[in-house]
Amino acid sequence: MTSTMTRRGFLGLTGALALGALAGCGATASAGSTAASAGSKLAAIRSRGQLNAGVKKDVPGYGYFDPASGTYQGMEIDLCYQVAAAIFNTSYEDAQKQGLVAFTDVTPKTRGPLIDNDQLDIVCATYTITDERKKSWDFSRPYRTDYVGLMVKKSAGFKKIADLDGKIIGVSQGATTQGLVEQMLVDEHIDATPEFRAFSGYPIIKSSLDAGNIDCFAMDRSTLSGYMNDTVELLEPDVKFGEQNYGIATKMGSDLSPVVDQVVADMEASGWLAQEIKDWGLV
Amino acid sequence: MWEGLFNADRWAAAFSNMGTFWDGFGVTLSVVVAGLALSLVLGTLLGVFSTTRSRVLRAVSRVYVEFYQNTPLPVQVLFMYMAGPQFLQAITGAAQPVRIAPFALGALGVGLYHAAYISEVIRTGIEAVPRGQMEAAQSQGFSRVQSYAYIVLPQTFKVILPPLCNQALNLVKNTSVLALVAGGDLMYRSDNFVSLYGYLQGYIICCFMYFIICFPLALLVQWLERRSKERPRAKDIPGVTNAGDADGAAMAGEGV
Repeated sequence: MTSTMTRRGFLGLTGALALGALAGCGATASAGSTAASAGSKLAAIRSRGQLNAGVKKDVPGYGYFDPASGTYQGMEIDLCYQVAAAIFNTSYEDAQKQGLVAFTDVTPKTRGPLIDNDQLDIVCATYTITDERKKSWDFSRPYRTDYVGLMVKKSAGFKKIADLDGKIIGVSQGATTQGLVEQMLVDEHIDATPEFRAFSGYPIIKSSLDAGNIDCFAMDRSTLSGYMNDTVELLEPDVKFGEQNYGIATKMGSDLSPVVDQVVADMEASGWLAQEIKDWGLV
Repeated sequence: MWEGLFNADRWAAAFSNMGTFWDGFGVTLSVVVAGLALSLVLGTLLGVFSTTRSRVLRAVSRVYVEFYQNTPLPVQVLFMYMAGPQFLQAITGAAQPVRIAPFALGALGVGLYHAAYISEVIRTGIEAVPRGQMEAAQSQGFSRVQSYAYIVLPQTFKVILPPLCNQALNLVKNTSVLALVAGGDLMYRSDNFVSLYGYLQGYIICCFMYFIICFPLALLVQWLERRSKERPRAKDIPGVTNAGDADGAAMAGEGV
């Protein structure tokens, strides 16, 4: 009897301790974040001396980590330097030279939370602006409009979208791509009824295409660009559908948001964005 | 999480998609039937191989069984899925890769895989009947074929039926490997539903449908196992056996 009592008492004590520790952690964490959000984000970045930016590491042309040189490259990377230049009141070239941006690679799952817990100041990572997301984060005006692309094997010899009649199109599970393609077929008056197969990830769609199990890989063009090579091509790239606008995300209500938006506006006005799109060969 | 599971709207959404679930059910069922047929034929063949005197046939059976028993089914299926079309293109000389229909891939995948297990079931079944049974039958004037038909095989069947049904049960569940390659089976449809709506109801319906196929099989296994434990009873053939004697023998048997 005594032994059970002791054991129970011990368990209770440990539980109480663990709870206390958890509560303590929670308290400090929330205190920290409120302090940061209450203060000026701009001031915090300037005193830190670097802008923390979340970017893609696997989307060539937008955000790509080049393992050979150990640097991030792409249009979104350049845009981050422009934002840094505006924050630190310096030139774009200086911002690049002094390395005023610290890059972190993000995934769709991590980009929101990393802004929320202040690990990142901005996220510039093919982040589509939606009404739903606008409730949680601030977005700049769009710096790039992307469309859905239809990737096919060159050897298959497709010339028109109508050639996809009765063929199999691979899409990503849970994505809206299938609906967008079907809508496009109606809008463009194309008489074709392809079959759709949904896969759990991009790599298996691409390998299915390479293996010859599907005829077409339909996805955002920015994502497709990461899988582009000599054996594949986009089918009728002039047909643009499934529009998505990419914006730079910042913390809701922070003083950084208007600055970022202004940078995008200026870059658009000066023609810098158009030049970047050309330079990086974005389709 | 619990609110989500008991949410009436989510169940309504799931039930309004029952058509796709039943489509998947149909695909799974057809893959099961074809896969089972393939595995039974191939498995019996390999099982008999492993009990023959031929060293070569025994080796073939051994290598096959060890390969399929010791490698995962998803790897085998993914390999066939990725390499198959171009392999067939090379063989047939077609202009484009020759696609393997998901149904064929699934039936081939589970069929080849379970053939290895069924081969082992058949082998142990044959080995379980003592050699003396055959010798005794032949000494009583049965021909070799007759001894197999009347003496050895009936005893073999009794031994192998429960594990055979178990294999069928596992085969049903293993067809879900098709979901990996968007094969249109039950698992694929429910996974699609869940990733589209985010409602776990899809998985519950999926489980229920697999259950519909598997539970009768499981009951069959139990019944067969019970039956295989019963002592064999002599058949009552009018004019040959004495009905009273047969009953007495059976009762005596139960008494032991």
